[in-house]
Amino acid sequence: MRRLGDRATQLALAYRRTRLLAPLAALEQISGTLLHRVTHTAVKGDLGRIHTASEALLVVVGDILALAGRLPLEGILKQLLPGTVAGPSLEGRLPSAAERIDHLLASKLSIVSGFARELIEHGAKEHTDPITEDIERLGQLAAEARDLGARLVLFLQGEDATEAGEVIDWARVASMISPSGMDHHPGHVLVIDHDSLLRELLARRLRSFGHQTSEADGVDTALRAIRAPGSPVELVLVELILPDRNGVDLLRELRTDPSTRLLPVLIVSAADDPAARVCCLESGADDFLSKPPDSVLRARVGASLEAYRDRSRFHKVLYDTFPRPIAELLRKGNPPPPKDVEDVAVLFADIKGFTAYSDKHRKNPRLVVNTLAKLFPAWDQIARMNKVQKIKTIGDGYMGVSGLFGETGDLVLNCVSCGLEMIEEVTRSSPADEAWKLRVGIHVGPVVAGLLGETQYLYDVWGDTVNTASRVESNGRANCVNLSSRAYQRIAGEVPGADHSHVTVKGKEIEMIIYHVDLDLAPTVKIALSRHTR
Amino acid sequence: MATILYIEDEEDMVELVKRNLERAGHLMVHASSGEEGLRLAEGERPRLILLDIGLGVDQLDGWEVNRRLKANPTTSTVPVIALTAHTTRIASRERALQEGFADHHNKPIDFTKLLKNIDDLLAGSVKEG
Repeated sequence: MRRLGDRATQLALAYRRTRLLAPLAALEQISGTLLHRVTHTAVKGDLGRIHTASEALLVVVGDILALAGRLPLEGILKQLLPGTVAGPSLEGRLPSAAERIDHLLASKLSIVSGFARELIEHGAKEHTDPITEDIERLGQLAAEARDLGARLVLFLQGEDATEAGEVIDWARVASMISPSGMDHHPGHVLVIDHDSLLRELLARRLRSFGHQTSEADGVDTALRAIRAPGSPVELVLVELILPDRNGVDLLRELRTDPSTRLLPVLIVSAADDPAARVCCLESGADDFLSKPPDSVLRARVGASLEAYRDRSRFHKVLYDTFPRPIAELLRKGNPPPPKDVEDVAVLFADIKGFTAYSDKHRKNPRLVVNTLAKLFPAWDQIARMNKVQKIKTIGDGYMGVSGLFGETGDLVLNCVSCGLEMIEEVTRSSPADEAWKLRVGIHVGPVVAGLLGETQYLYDVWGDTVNTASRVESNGRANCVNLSSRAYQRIAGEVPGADHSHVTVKGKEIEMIIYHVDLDLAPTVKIALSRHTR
Repeated sequence: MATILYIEDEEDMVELVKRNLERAGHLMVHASSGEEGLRLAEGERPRLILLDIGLGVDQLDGWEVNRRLKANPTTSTVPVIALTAHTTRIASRERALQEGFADHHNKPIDFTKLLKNIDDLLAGSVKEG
């Protein structure tokens, strides 16, 4: 073998080792899978022999390869078969180490190929078609594995025993597959370990990468830190074994809580075995690093932070754009089917005077946008608290519904309470030199709802109920929640005494009675509402 | 039908050879060590012996077992086939023939060839006998 740098040599060795082991790994895997599939006792027995022999071969050859280059053949033999004395010469009384190793491999390989042939030639009646193909594959693999010993000896002698004609420039590979030292944006990492020294070491390393850190000594303290309002934590590094509860408990809690579901969690643990790894990954860990983590830590933390920020941005847009149940469906890749719902209360709200205000400040669009940018989130919050789901905003107008997503209570009352609080919010946030007034309109009835668009989605509702609610709003009284008579009938028993007026609705040329619930009735509405939520 | 003694310490190998011999109508007697093989060669009077050369670490090896078979007048005329396991081409065949084996097969065993070989040897020994 050409002399290469240390790393290139290691890469080349690892690559060739894997190639040498490939036929054995395939034998072991395919016979193992077949073993689980067949029921016929005799076939199962033969497969079991093939499986056991290939497993043993995998171990022996794996050991030989692991020791290759570190021990002479005699040393390797001593490790494989303790107590064996290797003879000095090829055909002398005592077999040489090479002969012993060769014999070991050849014996096991002959069992594999012998029983594979047995199954192909004599077991044919016993097994069914789908497995015949796999059994024939076992036979081919056994034949391929036959020259393994020869290739192995060449390998041990430092010859390239991979496929002939395959030339790999290992120096180039080693130089290309190297860290770029790429920097990631720093983030805030919570380090959880019961051992304060190990915690400190990890936190120090993270800070040396430019991150900020905080520390916790157990699951409960960690959860408190993560759930604290305005918590800066963007990534969690946790030891699996903690005295109060373990890292998997933490993972489960974080993954079932929508507000922390996306938070990246890296397990850094001394308990590093496949079962622990699988358990952690199944429970939603982003990765599992053994302790102390190697140089992968820096890149792993950086990449997890990047991915987290990407996912968070995507989620924020998704959840800000759609009603929560619709966002949930879209996130899971299930576009919601259109639906019609018999009884939905629809709310429209529009600020009187806002159009004049935005015209007046046309030269200062930032001011106009900022005003709405403050008002709408406040309304969103009010809507949520009152079990009203925002559908969309139209200019300074707002449209919401109650009853479309299984909201409980009196749907009209939900909208009335929401409308009154929105009026209060507008009064509060109206600029000093303006006297904004909000007009709210409510109607109740059947609607059709669905997702529209292929690139720019909108979840919307349609139907006469929606049109009527809009008309009630536009014909309604300012600073009042205006209701159609059908809507008011629903709550008249609990919120009596609302003023009403007769209006002629444009377009429909019919007269309509609109009820006006003003802020004076707000306490009555609250009492009625509390009756329903009780 | 003939009784054939197989001296082999690898169980699965015994099972494989047994099936092939029995399908060909032979009766197989098995010994799992050189010592047991020598005993059975004398007691069971097999018509032919299959001998694994690479017997386990602390045992009599196949070469020595063959020498003792040849030295014993009761067993000296029984044909012995050497079975070796080598993946590399380490020349055992020449030595086997030199040491008085009737023939030599390398693992993995080609049973078509082995059974033909056995039949020829048995036919030969019948003629001789």
